[in-house]
Amino acid sequence: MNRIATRLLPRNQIYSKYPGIQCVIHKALPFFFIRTYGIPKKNKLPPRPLWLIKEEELEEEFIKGGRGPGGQKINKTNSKVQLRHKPTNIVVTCQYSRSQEQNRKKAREILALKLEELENPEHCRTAVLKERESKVKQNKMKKSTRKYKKIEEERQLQKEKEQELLSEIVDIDSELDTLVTSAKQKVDNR
Amino acid sequence: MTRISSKVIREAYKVSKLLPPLLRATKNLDLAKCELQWIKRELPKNKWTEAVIRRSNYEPLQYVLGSQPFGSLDILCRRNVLIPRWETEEWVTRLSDMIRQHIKDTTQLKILDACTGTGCISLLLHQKLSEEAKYKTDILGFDVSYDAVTLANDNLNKNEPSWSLEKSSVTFRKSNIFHWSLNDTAESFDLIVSNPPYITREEYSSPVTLEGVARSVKLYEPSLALIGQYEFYEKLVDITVSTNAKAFIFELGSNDQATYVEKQINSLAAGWKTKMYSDTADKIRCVLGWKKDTVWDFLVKF
Repeated sequence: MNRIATRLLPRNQIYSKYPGIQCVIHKALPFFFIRTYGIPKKNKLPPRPLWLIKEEELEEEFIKGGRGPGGQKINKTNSKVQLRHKPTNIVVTCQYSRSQEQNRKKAREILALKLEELENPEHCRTAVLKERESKVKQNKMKKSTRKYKKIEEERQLQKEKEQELLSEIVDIDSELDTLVTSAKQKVDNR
Repeated sequence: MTRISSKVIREAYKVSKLLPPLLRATKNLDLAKCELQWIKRELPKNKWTEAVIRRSNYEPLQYVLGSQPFGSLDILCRRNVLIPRWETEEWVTRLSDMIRQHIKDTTQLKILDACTGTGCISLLLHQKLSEEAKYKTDILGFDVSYDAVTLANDNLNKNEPSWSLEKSSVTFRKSNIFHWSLNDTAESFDLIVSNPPYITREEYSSPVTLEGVARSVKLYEPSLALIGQYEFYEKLVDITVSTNAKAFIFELGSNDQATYVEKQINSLAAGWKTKMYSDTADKIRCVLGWKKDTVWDFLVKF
């Protein structure tokens, strides 16, 4: 990549912001080339594709859970919303919240994402989100391996130092022993 | 009561330690998961265990969490006051949408909400008519219970900051429907709405499988807001006639109550039409009535 970029650009557009690191201006490259680099920013994701929702294409159903008594006799907590997109037959349900109104909104958002996925599988919001997620994960892994590698290296160094120190320390007793024995030998030889 | 199988309990335990107790009240793993999610989202962490214990003793989730969504509003809920039901939310939303569609005159709309409870019907009507569309509404809600009126006023105060109550008004006060007389408000109303107690004594004491009342309702919700048969509808029709109302809509639980209201209004006043309305669960839920040849004729399409 880097080499292509440098070849595409005139020499004077290659500059270095930080000493030692070469940076390339990507203006000459198509958009998707650039995106393959870093993590997509959270505030620069593609928008939620709510324009794909057309109310006349939808079939909405509110599921209150089963038969049995209704009205004041029972006190239901759930309000599930089910949406069917008639042209594609995609069915989406949502019971994220206790409020039916919020569930209706949320169900539409989910359906819109699914429709976009069908329409434009490569550059839709969900794909970008997935990409972002995996990249963030990768980054985390990279960071953690780097961190532990560093810690390991430091430990190794510490050990070596200790070893050196240990070897420098002189054991007085054994030294004395050897001295005494050598002296004895000398005496004996005489 | 269906017994929960040990397999389901084990499965629940794997997800979370807090889940098995919730199964006792919900009888359904999916619903228990949802409820746990809501508890975790709406309460601080140190209150989760307490909430789950309360819920496992069949206390309604709305009392545990303290509120219930009603349309776009969040209605506070407390013991001694009936929790708003989804059926009520449904017909109130439908009614206000139809009013916005068919009544073009926005200058004056006076609504009486009898047996208001949490005040949910009044507040949602105000929100939908006065805030979202520019109707000038005067809504009066009353209830016999002191707790209910206090709670209704709390709900009003909670929503008031986001409202512009300059032209329109919502008021709640304590009064007994059986002591109601026209002198209480020397005024007339356009529309009477009500969700009175409508469960008969036999139904209240029979088991759930025989069209009875759910355990959590019987244990925790006030019977004052639940038990009633014809007496409330008799009084409501009286009020409708004496306040010169042009339309009414009452929630109810059985066909008999609907035919009773029909008979009663036709015997007391002439020129009234009635219609029954079933909710999306296909159960009869409301009776509507309106004076012929008025703006309220659109209610025929309800």
